[in-house]
Parts: sequence; structure tokens; C-alpha cells
Amino acid sequence: MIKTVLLWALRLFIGGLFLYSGFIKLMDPHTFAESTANYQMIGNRAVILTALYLPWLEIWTGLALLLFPPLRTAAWSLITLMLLVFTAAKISALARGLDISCGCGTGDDPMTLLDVLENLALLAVTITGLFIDTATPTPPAVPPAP
Amino acid sequence: MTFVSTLVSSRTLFGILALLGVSLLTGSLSQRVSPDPLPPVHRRGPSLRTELEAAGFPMLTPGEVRTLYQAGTHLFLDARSLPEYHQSHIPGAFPVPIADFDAHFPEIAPILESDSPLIVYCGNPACDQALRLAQRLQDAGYENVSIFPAGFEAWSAADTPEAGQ
Repeated sequence: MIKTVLLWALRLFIGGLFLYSGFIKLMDPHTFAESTANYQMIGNRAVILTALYLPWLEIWTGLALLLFPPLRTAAWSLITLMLLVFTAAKISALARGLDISCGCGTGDDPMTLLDVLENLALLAVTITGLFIDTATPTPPAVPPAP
Repeated sequence: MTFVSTLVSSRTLFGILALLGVSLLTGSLSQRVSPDPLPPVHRRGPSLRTELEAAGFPMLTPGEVRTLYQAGTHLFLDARSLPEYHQSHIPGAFPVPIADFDAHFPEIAPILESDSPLIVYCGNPACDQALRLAQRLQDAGYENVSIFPAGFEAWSAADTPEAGQ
């Protein structure tokens, strides 16, 4: 029972967060593209592709986590991967002394170490969710014949 | 064992491919129906030039910009990112990185009139930040906005004064 409640809390938190984050980026893809370009890690072509597809990937993984049980492990895995990339990008930007906002849809404040710590916390929550959700056997859609 | 075998199962792989596929599909569809689509990924200078011309802003050559700079009649707005601005910029230019327009523009808005002569620029002819900044300014009611499409690289190459940290 506790495990089920915890699992749903994790799904709602991470799934909701990715849905929100994807939606915010989708509403203003040009600004998101500029934010991505400000990291100075990828070329213009990759920036446009990221701005075009990443918001949708966030939305679909968020939805899958909340609504599509067969896709939950895949969604947790992709979210883990995205958070790893986001965290690495933030660490790289801070290490290079770039004075930029994180482009996470949370405002225009300059990025700080706190943003990296926030990402690491999200990563820990996501890996916990991935582990619990994946280790919990999905009940069969059709009960076994007696 | 259950964790690892589930994680690397064909069902998980299929799920990942399905989520990537549906994201690609919806991203491409949204690009087609969006009233303000992202620029095509294959775009380079010439098509941006076409877009600049279609936008209708006066476009200034490096020589014209140099003359206006010396006359001191225009305000220069730098649409590039803050690190680029701090590295070097046209002396007297104000930073208005288009990615953080709402954060930075209010800092200079009080000194501007709706008919203030403004020149916006970014890095080079392939960047579209100047065009986007000009459009934001036009939307905000500024009527006298010109673009310096050759950008800071052309300014820098012409042995003109620069400022920076």
C-alpha cells in the first residue's frame, strides 16, 4: 500500500513536472532555442532540432508515466537520460563561466549551482521511481485461467 | 534480476522507440501548423537575408553604421548573448539578449522614446537574433528600428572601436 502511494507520488511529481516543462517550452520554442544556443555546446542545426522535438519528448514521457502503464519503464528511462544530459549541460555552462538562464521554463534568473543541485535531486527521484516501478511486476491484463 | 531484465527487455526498447517516434511525429506536425514555426534546419545566410528583406526593416551596411555611430544619432542594441556582449561589443551598445528580452529590455526602456532611432545587431549575417529583436521592438511600439545584418563580426573586421571587459 505504502509502495503504491509512493510510486504514484513519484509518477505525479516527475510526470507532472515534465508535462509542465514541455508545455512551457512548446509555448515559446524560439526563446527555448535561444536558451539552448546560449549553452554554446551544439550547432545551430542541433539547436533547432532540440527546440522542435525536446518539448514533445518531455510531454509524451510525462503522459506515458501517468497514463500508459506499458510505457512507464521506457518513460522513466528516457527521463533519466534527459536529466543526465541537462545536468551535464548545466555543469559545463557553469564551468565555462557562462552567465545564462537555464532555459528550463522557470524564469530568466542566471543559472547557479543551485540549479545543478536541483537537477541532481530530480535525477535521484527519477532513478528511485525507475527502480521501484520497474521492479514491481505489472499485473497481467487478463487474469490467468484457473 | 527483475529490475535489470525488465529494464533491458524488448518491451522497454519498444517503448523508448515508440515515445521517440511519437515525439518526432508531433514535433514535425506542430512545425507545419505553427503560425510562427522555427527556422528550417538547412537554412543559411541567403534565406535569412530573404526573411530580413521581407520583414521590411531598413538594413544598414557597415559603412552606414560607422557613419551613424560617429554622428552619435542612433542607439545600438546588441541582441547576442550576454557572454558574447561582455567579450566585446560596439561601444555604447546596450545588451538586449533576445533569449532574455523580458529581463533586460526594461532596463533600457526608460531612456527610449517610441521614435528613438535604434540599430540592432547580432554576430554575423547567419544569425537571426537581430531580426527577432527588431520584431520584438516593433511589436512593443518602436517605429524607428534598423538592422545591421553584417553584425559585430563585420564591425570588428573594419578596425573600428570596440568595448568589452
